Amino acid sequence: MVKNDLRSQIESLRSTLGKMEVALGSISDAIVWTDMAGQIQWCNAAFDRLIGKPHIILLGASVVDMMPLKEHGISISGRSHPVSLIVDKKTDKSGYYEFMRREQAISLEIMGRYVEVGPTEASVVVVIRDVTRAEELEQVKLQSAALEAAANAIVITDQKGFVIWFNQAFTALTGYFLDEVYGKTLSFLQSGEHDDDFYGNLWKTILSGQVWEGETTNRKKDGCVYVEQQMITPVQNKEGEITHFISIKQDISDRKEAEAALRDSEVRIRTLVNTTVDGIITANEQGVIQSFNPAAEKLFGYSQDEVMGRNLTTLMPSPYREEHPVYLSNYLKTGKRKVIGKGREAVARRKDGTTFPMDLSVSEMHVGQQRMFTGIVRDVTQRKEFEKQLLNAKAAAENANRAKSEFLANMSHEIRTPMNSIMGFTDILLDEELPTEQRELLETIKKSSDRLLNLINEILDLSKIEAGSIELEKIPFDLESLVLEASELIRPVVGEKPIEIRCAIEDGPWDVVMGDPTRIRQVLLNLLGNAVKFTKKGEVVTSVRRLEETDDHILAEVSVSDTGVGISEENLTTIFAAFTQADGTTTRKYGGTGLGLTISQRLIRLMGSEITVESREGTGTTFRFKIRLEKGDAPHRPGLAGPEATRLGPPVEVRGLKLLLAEDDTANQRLAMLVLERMGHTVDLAMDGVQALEMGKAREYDIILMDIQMPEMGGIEATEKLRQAGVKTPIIAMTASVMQDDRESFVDAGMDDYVAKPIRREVLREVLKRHAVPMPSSETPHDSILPAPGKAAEELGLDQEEYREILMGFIEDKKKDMEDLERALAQKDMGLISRLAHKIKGSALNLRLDLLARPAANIEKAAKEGRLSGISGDWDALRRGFEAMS
Amino acid sequence: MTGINQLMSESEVPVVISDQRGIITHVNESFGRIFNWKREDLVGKALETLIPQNLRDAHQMGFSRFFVTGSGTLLDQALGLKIVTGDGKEILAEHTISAEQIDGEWVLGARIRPL
Repeated sequence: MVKNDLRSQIESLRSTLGKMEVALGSISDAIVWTDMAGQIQWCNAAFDRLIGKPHIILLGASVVDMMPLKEHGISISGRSHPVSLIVDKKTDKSGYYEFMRREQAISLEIMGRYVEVGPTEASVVVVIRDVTRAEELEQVKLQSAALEAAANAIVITDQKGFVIWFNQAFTALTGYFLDEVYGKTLSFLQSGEHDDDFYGNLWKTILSGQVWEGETTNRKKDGCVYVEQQMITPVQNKEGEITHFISIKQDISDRKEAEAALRDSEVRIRTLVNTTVDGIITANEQGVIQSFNPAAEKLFGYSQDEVMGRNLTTLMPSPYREEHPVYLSNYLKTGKRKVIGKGREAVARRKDGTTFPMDLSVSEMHVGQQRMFTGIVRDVTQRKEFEKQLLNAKAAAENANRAKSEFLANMSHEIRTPMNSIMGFTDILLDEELPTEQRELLETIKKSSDRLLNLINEILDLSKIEAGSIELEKIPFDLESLVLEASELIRPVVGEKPIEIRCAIEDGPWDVVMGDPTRIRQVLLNLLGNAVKFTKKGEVVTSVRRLEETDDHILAEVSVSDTGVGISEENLTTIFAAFTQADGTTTRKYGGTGLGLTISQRLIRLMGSEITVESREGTGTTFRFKIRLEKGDAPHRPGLAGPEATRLGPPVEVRGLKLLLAEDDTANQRLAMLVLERMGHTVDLAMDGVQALEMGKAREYDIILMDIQMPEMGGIEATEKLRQAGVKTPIIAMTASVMQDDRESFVDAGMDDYVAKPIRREVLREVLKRHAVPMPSSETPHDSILPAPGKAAEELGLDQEEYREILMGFIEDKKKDMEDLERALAQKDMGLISRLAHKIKGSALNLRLDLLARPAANIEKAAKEGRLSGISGDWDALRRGFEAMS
Repeated sequence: MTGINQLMSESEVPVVISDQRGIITHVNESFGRIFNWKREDLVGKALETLIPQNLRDAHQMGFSRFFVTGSGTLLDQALGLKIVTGDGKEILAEHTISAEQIDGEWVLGARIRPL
């Protein structure tokens, strides 16, 4: 049946459409279609929900009106609406739009299709999808990525504290991976550092919906403990129930360590400040005290509380108290520092008003914007006291040293005065005719005296060097001459030993140099003396060579070599030490004090050099020193030559001088009178300075010999007075004191020279010769050579025995001449007297028998002059001398 | 609840009744008079005859849904809808639609009062 077919066909369509309606009504995408006017012809339930209006209202309504859209925040309505565009352009249109639904923006993905239903009819079918959530998810994904990449460790747990997520930073921090600990509580991080209360409080806080923030000490997977700053935020849902916790952690171990280190150093500094013995005070720019450590409390007697906030001037006595504010404000204005940055001594004032000396050092520091001053105060009362004691001790030591020097000078004088007598009278006795035994005894006395005097001189020299009281001279001299002279001086010492003394001086002119020739000569004589002493045969060579020469100076090397016994290796190191000789037996065998080398070494060191020594036992020894000398060409400075400088040339007799001797010591008077008169001089005696002054003014003397230490008036004063009175006579000091200071005072007083006591005849003779006005009568060469018989053997290079033999020959030989002379004298045969006297004189001179030669010469002279008066004394002397020898 | 039988006997309020396929089976005299239709022009025709063009899709979809599920969202309530008159006008009228199963088939009836 057609009709039934139609019915069932309609039912079939109804069934299909109905299922479609159900299906479309069930899906979440909104579907709507409209006619070409944009009026809604059908829409599904999702569309109803989207627009939020009853289905029946929507049907037939304009979709553009019902669904107003925004695109990129701009409203699109009317012809811009996608449905209008589809209608107008008869084309599909898709896009993303925002739609406001109950004031909430939702994102829509709209897919509009243009559907031609028939030749004249068309529809717009629109499927609308809410993509708000998708976009949100996208956002969440981004945020999640951000969390993942965050530097802080982030953990999310559920409301029970089970881990559901954490980021890479958490893994980096703790070493755990999510799959290891997912679903576990975070207790795996606990280090045991915190007690149950700590975690109890934490949970209490977050379970009440509050944020917990704090530091937690946790343990990493590898066991390391670290400290984290943690913030736990509870996450609540709409209903206010806590669903999750988010923990954000930051490792602050480094910061904690730095903090701890800072705390430590703070504690250390505080401890230091609190325990140091120095007072430490800080003050601000106004000088107001900001801190005051315990040591300062002790020093000043104030407690910190008492001085805090008070001005620094509280701690200062006048005038610091008044000056300080001025100084401080001046410093703040000009930056001119007086104390800051350096220390100084100042005076501080205690609470009780007493003061104490302090070392104060002030430094400036900036604390934030504030300028602060720190003062460190040290009580130096004790140090001051100590310094005072030291100064006293130093003064005492200096006094003691001065006393020692004076004592030495005095002692030297006291010893020299009796020594003068001993040596002088010994000499005189030796001039007499004596039994051999007595002569030998006397000679022993003389030798011992010589050694004693030498010892005293050397001890005095050494003590002067050690006291630093030796000042080197700087006068022009000729080194070549000095060396030659020293060699000559030593020649007589060689005696009978087969030793050649020679000099090896580098060729070429030796310029005049500046230095202390006296001391260099002393050193050379010492070295030469040692060389001669310790050498039995061979040679002693003094060498001088230039090491360096410029326009300004010469560096010379001087050496003294011998072929003597040598020095053993072990003794080489000690020979320069005081009172040391190569071995103990040396003194007994060779004599000497052992001080000579010590003195020489010290002298050369004073000159900036060093004496070195090379030696082989049994082969010989070489002493060597270098000496740097400035060149100079100034004339010889006038001054005292001194005994050491005296050239001991062949004795030249100056006779018949009129001398004034000022001497208070009777023994010395007698000695000096004897010596001088035997030299052929006339001597007047003054008992003290007053007499010397009177006599020196009253009579014209050739030379005045002036003792320095005399009662009533000393030699220096007498000399000054004589000079003031216009007396030009040369005045020679005779003194036992040989300190440098004394010599200078002699010159200052107007003296011309000096001889040291004990007076040696050779020296005295030389000094007299130097200052005497030459007399024609004493110019004959024979007259001038009259050596003392005591020295005769030595001067002739003979030993006593040889000399005695020669003397015996002389006596036999001259016996006849003496008898003839006696006869001629009786006959007053002037010619014969003269001839015989001349003969005896010549022979006596050859044997250094000046005891005979001198009266013989006198007789010859008188005879030549045709007079015999006054020669009886000479004849007696000659005869007695001859008989004594016989 | 007004049963279909009641609707069949209704004389004052315009009534239209259809079968479950949407074919009109009955209109009363009042309906023809008020909406200017002849009964013979409507009986045996589809309900779309009375429904304006732009509501026909919605009607078809909704009616088919009822056909499939047996439940309708718009039944037994007053709905303001346009209706097509016999002289081709569309006038707004208050529709109250009800449905009833008779002999295994749905019968739908509606009172339609012009507003």
